Amino acid sequence: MFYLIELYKELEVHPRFFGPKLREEIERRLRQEVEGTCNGRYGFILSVMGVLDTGKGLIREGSGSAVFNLKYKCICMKPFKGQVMDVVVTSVNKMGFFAEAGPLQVFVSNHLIPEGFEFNTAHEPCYQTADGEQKIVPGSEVRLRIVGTRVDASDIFAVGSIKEDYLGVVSAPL
Amino acid sequence: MPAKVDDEVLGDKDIKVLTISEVACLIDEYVKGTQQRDADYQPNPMLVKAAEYASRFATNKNRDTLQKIREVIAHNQLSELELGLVANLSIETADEARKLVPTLDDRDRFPDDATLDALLKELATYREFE
Repeated sequence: MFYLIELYKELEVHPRFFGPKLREEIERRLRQEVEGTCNGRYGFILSVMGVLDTGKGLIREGSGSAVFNLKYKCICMKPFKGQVMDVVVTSVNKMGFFAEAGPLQVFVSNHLIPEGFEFNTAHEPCYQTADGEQKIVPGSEVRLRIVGTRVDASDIFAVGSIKEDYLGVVSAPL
Repeated sequence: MPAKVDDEVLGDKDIKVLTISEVACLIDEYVKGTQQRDADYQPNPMLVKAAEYASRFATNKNRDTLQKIREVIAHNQLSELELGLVANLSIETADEARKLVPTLDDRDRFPDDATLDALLKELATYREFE
């Protein structure tokens, strides 16, 4: 799920930037440090929308650098348990299949795939229903429910299920 | 009551949920804008992946339609999360809504399927309106 959220960051700026372009430098540093990271609490921080408030920089004693407490708005993505989302399958094996939703990786174990699907290695590894109607191959779009998430310091990993009503293959690969 | 669900999930009261179509729009503008100002700009890999995902699953590209969709849902006392889920999943029927978004299975706000169905039908018209 994508969110727009206001976050805070402390940034230390070297005195060489204390000039007319200080704001730009602050923004540039903020983007460089924060965009593309993953935070356990707020999820993947995709992009900074803008700096709302820089506040007054406090000069550190001894070093001369100024510390700014920045307030900024950014787009984040974090999955939550129980959320239903659409994903794109990336690889299939007999234990289940991997899929991704933007920066997030989700794994669906074969225990959470309905019995109707069988693992088939005829042409390429895939899950297929007995009548051949539905097929899960790399590139197909699948709707799943997130049943659990694991968050460590810099990454989020999720486990999903398609064993419920209205879940499963949405469309064939493009 | 709707706000309570949001709190449990993100623990913050100041968040706004974005639908996938809105994210696609925002990222697109952001990348174009930054590329105009700085020709060497390369979006970070995470943003690239997010942009691809968003444009693949976005339901429509028109900004005004997206605004209208948000107004319609907001008008109906849905929490932020429910708003996001209903818009992202392009839900069509009340049964689907109750199954996919369990918090909508609420007899206080939606005493019968008709109210939910009416809301979903209205959203569906905006989705096709491109």
